[in-house]
Amino acid sequence: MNTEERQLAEMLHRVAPEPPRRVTVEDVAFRLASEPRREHRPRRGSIRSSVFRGGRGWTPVLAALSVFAIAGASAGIATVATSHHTHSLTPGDGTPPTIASVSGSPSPTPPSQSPPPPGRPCGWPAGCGAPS
Amino acid sequence: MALTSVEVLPVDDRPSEPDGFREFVEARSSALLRSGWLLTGDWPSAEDLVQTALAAAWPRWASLTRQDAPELYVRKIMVNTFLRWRRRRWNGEVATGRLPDMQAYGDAFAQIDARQALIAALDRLPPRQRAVVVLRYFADQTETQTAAAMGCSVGAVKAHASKALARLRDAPGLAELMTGGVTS
Repeated sequence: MNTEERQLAEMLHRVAPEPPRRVTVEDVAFRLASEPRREHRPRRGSIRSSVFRGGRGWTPVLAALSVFAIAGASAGIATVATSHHTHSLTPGDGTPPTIASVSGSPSPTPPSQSPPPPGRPCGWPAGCGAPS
Repeated sequence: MALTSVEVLPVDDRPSEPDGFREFVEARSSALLRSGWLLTGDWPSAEDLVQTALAAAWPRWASLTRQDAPELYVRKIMVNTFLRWRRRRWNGEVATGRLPDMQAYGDAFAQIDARQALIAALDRLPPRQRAVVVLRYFADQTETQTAAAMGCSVGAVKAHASKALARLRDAPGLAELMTGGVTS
């Protein structure tokens, strides 16, 4: 402590008054007895203990599970719909199938790249192996 | 016949008193109350603070005495309770020029002025700086103990103490007190 800190400490001890009455054990016992009995609550953030004790501790786990369930269901629906459209919309004249967008969610599996039809430009500088 | 607060309690609801708890309360309640007064600025709140801390320490008393840290724990509860009160209960507090529990007894005008100046100066501090001042300079805790009680780093304690000293330096009437003045 430097001089200023020591002066502050001395002043606090000097000026802080003596209490008009003391706290007794009986005061504390009365407070303990009159408090509503509370269950021991796990610390905030302790998911494991709160989960195994039940109650609201399940909420984050259920939220995470529901996110995974919805994501999985969306991916499944998108996959099924994509494959269904691929099979049903493939015309017989060799034109590439049109990929239909289903419910606006991104498809988890990228559509397979079908080779461009012969004789059409494909955008690659070296060509797409079209027959000359 | 006047009933005390304990006599009206049902016997079954009264928790059993841990060993050494009574001696601690008798020996330390005055110092704890004075710390509470410096934190809150009035005796009823100081008593409430001390009773809250002691009630929290009661069920853990055996392990606290084994760790030889009952007072540190009680002070920690006091500071945390004070900070929580400041966040929740006292947001609408309006500062007044006159403190309600100031009583004039003896030749106490100078003492009252000194206490009033001290409390007014402490009221200017943010709650955490005030807690650091009380723990570090009144309760004579080390920086490490203060940091443990407040749940922050030693560096944060140093920063709070430095800012608090700077503010107290500018507080009206406190400079004369710090250089020697009225005794309590």
